[in-house]
Amino acid sequence: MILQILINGILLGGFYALIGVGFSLVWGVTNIINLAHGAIALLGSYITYYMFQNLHLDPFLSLPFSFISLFIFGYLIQRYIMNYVVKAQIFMLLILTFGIEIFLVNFMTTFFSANFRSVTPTYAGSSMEFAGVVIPYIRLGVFVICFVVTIIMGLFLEKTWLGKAIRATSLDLEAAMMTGISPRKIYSITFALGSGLAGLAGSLLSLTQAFSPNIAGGLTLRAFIVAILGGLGRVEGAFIGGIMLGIIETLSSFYIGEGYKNAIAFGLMVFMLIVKPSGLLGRKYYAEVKH
Amino acid sequence: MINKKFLLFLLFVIVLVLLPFVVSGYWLRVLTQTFLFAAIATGSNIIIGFTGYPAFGNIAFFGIGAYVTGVLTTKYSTPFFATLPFCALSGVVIASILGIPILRLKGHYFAIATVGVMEAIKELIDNMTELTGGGLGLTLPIMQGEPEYIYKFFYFVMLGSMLFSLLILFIVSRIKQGYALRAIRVDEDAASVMGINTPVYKTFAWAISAGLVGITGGIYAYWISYIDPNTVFGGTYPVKMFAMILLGGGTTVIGPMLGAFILELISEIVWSKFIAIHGMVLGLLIIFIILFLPKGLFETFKGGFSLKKLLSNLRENRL
Amino acid sequence: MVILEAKNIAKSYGGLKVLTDVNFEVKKGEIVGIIGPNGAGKTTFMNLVSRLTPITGGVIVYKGEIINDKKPHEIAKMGIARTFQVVKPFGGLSVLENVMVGAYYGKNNVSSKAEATKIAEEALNIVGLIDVKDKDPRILPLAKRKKLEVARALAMGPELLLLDEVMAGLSVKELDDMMREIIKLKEKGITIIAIEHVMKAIMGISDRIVVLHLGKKIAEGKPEEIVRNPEVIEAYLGSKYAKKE
Repeated sequence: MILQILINGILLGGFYALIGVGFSLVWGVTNIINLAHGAIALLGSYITYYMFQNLHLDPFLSLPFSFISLFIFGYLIQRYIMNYVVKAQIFMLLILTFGIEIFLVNFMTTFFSANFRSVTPTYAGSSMEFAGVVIPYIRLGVFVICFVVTIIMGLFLEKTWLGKAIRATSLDLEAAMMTGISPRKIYSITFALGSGLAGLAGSLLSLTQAFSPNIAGGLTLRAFIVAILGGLGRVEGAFIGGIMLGIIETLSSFYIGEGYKNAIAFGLMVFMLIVKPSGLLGRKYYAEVKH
Repeated sequence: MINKKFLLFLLFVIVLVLLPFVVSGYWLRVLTQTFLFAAIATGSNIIIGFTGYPAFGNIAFFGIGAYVTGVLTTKYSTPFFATLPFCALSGVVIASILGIPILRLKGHYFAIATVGVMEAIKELIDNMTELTGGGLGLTLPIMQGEPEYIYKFFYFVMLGSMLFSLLILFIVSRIKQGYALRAIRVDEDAASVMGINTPVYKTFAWAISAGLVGITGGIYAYWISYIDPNTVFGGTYPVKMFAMILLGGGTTVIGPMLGAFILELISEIVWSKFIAIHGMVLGLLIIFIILFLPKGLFETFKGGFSLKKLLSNLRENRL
Repeated sequence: MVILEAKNIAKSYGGLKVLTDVNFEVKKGEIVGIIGPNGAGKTTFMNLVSRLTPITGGVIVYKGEIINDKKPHEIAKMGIARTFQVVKPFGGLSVLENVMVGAYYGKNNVSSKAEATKIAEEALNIVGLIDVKDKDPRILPLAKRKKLEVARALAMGPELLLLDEVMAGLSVKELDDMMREIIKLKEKGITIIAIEHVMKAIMGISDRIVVLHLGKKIAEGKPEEIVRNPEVIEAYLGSKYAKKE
């Protein structure tokens, strides 16, 4: 039994890692805490849903569309809205993203309705058994994709010029500027990446649970916790943080009850903020030292 | 100290007092709701605008106050007015206790922690089903009397709550502790080396604002007669409260109230004409305020209205 | 009488050692200048005395009492006041009200508005800002803002005043002005420790100078001795200019 719970937690955790990594990257590099992250993810969910409903496109094939659309969307938001507030006081940005969240959530409610949706392809129910543990194929697929994406992100940040530029900006904005990196471009690309990843996570979400515009807040919260647990801007950290959160949530769901999920998540978040804001794995990043 | 501004304010209050006798029930309701927001914004301004700690989740105390009144009137048959001191007390006590760990955080970390607190308390109340009715909500005893009388009753009680919050904020702005709070907002280190015990003062500020917001929550519960965790904890309240403070100016006493009036009026017009997109308009409005009016309406247009002033904010904060 | 002692003071941030084994005394009524190249640890030292950051090693003794565990507001009530390099007046309060904060919360610790106003006006008179007392401090030019900082600290009624680069950015005339103000304070019996980069000013008013370099004290003595001290010269200008005899 406990093994099943743990496996469930790990599978869930992979998803949390994905939703957390984009959020964490944006926070770590640009110091923007994007409260609209969950809403952006849900846009991805709806893209997959409608493509499945109307075009009968296999959800896994909609992933690139989701990523690209939300990448562009994120880029536009950052470049033309958030860029104008970046230098103001930090919580102004927070409110701004909250305003965007309210807009998006209401937009989705107005045009897509508040009904719960889910994406159920023909292979939805099947699962495999391994050592007495049931592992649904979809969940396994989601986990694998999350894992692969995390690795790709890690490699991107580590090996490519753009990735290194992003990391440089997060470590020391002024030094990065002196080497010719344009912070404005980096901020926009980072945010675009974060949004794209959120969209990806949202698409995968649509396969694993029912969704509606109202769960946006809960998603953002989970992303937030993963970012804190893993340390801002750290991809490996986000993955480990995600798994941890997944396990903690499944365990507490089982032993304490479903209803307290959010309270426990929040409690954990506040606890981490007070005790170790740089995260379990994190070091001091520009974003943290500057404020 | 009688001066022009004070007389203007007095006039304003007199108008508000006389209004219920000339105006219809619909507008009374709109105004009562406006007073509600004004009271919340003004009370919260003690910690947000004055002390500089953006307690985004201050609505937690609104919800707590609402449930205090809710539970006391339903389970313990307490008369309405008697519940209000308990609403205030619950806010003061809880903020004081939570303040110890949470006020150590700064800026947006503090803001998010307060949101966390709000959501956690919401869930706790949601789960205390025997006491609070949980997700199904709580229905309070309906007040006896003619509808006309009831409208007026809540109009005046809510107006009273707003005036009370204004009074407290006004007093805080005049006494030495108010000076200390504003010092903390500008530079906490400088404030502490000048001899201000910053942790104590911050807690003091948060506790008072929590008490004021709690009272408003209690009144709301009795007014609407039905509360559930989703409506009194969160929703659009936190952002509206913040936008009102921002719009009107957080460093003044009447700023939040003015912000509340303006925003509520706009909200009401939009809601009545465009119900479906009301939420979207609110989101856009907030984006607009942050982009173009971060210093508040009155501060930005101090020297006169001009489009240039709106755009200057954009350039100032641009990366 | 010794008013402040720094004994074996050390400060590290994680692995980074900012101050190592700093020792010196300040006598009541003196003006002691702390100088040293950038990064020497001067402001850090001031942060230690005003208790804004924990002391990693050693003790600071004020009027015979070890103050390592005191909080900043407690230090203020004991009679220590400080100014900051970057002057941030409390916006939303007038110049007078800014200074009243010092009267309310410093060693003076008064409760009535009348008393606070009296003390604040006195402090403003001393620094020469009384005519702008009702203005918004944010519109004041730099020199006046620095004076406001001093007035704020004065209103606290301190026995020991820590000045952090109060001369920076001032014109020649403003410098002379500020130097005179500081000497006035000494005449009132206030002990002063001043961090400075403006050599002419600090050499002109200090009774003694302490020189910090890379976290260590490298010299101490009268201004005339310090200017000729080869190690000090080396620290500032490099060994090429230090003539070791």
